[in-house]
Amino acid sequence: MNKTVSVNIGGRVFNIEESAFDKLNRYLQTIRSYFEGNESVDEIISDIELRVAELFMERINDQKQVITFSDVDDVITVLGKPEDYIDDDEEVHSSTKRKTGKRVFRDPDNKVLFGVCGGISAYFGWDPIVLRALFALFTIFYGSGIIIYIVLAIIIPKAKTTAEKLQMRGEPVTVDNISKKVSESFDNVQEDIKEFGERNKGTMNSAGDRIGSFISDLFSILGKAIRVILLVFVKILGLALLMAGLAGLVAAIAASFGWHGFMAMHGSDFIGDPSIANILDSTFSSTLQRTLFYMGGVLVYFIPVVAFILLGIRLLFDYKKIPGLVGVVLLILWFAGVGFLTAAGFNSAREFRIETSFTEDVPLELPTSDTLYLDIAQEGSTIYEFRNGFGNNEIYFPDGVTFPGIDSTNIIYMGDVEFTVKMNRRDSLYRLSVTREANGFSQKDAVMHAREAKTVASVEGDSLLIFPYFALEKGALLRNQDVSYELSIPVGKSIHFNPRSESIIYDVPNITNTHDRNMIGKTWYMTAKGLRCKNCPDIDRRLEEMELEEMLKEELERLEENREMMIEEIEEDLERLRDAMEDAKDDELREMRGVVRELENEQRRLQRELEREKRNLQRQIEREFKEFEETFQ
Amino acid sequence: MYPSDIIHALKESKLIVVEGTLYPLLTRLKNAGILDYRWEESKSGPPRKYYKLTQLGEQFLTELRQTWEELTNAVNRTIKE
Repeated sequence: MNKTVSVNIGGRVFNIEESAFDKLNRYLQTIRSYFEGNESVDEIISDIELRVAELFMERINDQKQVITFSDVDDVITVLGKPEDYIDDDEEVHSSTKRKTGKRVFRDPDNKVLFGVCGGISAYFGWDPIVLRALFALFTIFYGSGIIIYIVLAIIIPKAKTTAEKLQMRGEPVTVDNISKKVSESFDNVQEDIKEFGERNKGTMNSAGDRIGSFISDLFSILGKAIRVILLVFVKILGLALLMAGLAGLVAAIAASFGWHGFMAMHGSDFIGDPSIANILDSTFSSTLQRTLFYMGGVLVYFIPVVAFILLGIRLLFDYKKIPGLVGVVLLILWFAGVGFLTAAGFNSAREFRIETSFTEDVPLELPTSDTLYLDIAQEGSTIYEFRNGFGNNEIYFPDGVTFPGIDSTNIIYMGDVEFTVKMNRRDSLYRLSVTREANGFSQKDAVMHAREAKTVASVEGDSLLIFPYFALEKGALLRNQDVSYELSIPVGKSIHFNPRSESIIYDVPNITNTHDRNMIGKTWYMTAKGLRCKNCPDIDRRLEEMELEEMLKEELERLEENREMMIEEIEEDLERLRDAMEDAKDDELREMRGVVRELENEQRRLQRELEREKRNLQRQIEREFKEFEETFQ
Repeated sequence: MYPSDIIHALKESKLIVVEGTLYPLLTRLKNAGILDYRWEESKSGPPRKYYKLTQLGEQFLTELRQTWEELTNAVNRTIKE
């Protein structure tokens, strides 16, 4: 039993089997596609249809009223394959070329989600698993794989007809190929049709049909609208990607030339020439590390930039000529870059293993007066301005200051210097010491790197001038160098912090617990307890307040202690009373038990007496009875 | 002339095997003004298109025939020698 449909061919109605109709329809569609672009395509097709109708007429009679699959086959044999229609003299139309050439479709026969990977792979003749794995991988990068997949799923049409499936693989669209393809999937389709038939045994009524078709139309309109919106979105995305990629490129070019203050590292500033080459030279000790880091950095940075630009161009201009292999190669290179960076990191991490510090006296003739003035430069010093990541900074260069043993034009790095104060208990002089810190692969190496931090300190009259930065010369390595000064002040002598010294003083201990920034512009004298501000009513009041606070705290503590003691005493008394009560209860119980026992004894005694009395009485009665009997006899 | 008759004639002389080739060709010749057609009712099927050479077509055919004869003569002579 086969379902038939009735069709109008060349003005005649034919009953034709559904499968035969499909075949005929595909055949005519294919022919039409061959003549696409020819102005008389409709005429040619209608001529062919007329001929088909005529050939069908010859094949039906009263006994046989239905056109079968084999009839269609015969007709096609008579008329010839679609490619036979091409007139050799005639130029092949460009559209014909396009139709017969390869096109990207989504592959519904080889899909996991929408068949995007399957279709693209079929186009290039790859194994789809590679592409799927790639998409899964790209999902790591902010889900870009998913977004790209969705976009592709929308813009690439699905291969619906057999002709399209063949085009997807690039096989020529001939009737032979079509029928081969059809018979391949025929078994599956048959199953599907059977199942569908079972489900729809009741058959749909026409209203239901119409509603169904309306809904499907609605969805197709919606789909078109969404496609347009997404196309706009894709273009915007492409533009954004392209811009981002180009911006990355410009930034990289600018950085490679270097500009002042490009880098700001842990609160210290590169000055001089902070180019990438200089930074690398002062970070890594070996050429191998430098090369690894440099290559790794370039790969890790530029591959996304290149990928952005390629993807941007592709989305923006529908340029599909970028082969997929490029992506794979880029990804592998990117991972290689990450590997290089890691290797360079691990390799140089060993050189930071040991952290050390050492302190030495600064050989300076410190003032012998009672007050020492701390400053970072003298009035009238040249001021150099430079920019860093955090904004404008100023460096005060004392006139004529040079770093010992360093050509000032050869400085590659400057770090902050710290200054603090302690009490000198040994003698009555100011003493200045400096502590240097650094990392290295050994103690010796670390000390060597610490020594590379060059500092400048000088005395001018009563002033101690400390240059607020230490410097590393070109060729020295950055190994977490740190420099801090410590001034020992004997009791009775003072230090005055000039305003500009704020940038170097760090956590200066004092008895009023005053913050560094509030110590500026004031003179502080050393007492037996520590630094105290001279002529600072505010800070003194604060000190009084602190003392009062201390007293009150002590008083409060004492009171608290008393209270606790009293509570303890009361609790002890209570315990004693409770014990006494327990004891009293016990005594009473014992007494009562004694009484009970006495009473019991008494009872037993009385009983025994009673028994005795009873026996005596009995004996007496017996005796009297005998006497009575004797007297009576 | 009816297309299937043309086919028949061509098949007999083994010039063509399938009909499909013919339809685009006819359309092209018609568009070039060499052929003309008229509809004719058919007893057993849909109306048929009958093709006929136009005056221009006749002229073209004569030219072609002339060219053909010249060519065959030339070829024959060449082969004989």
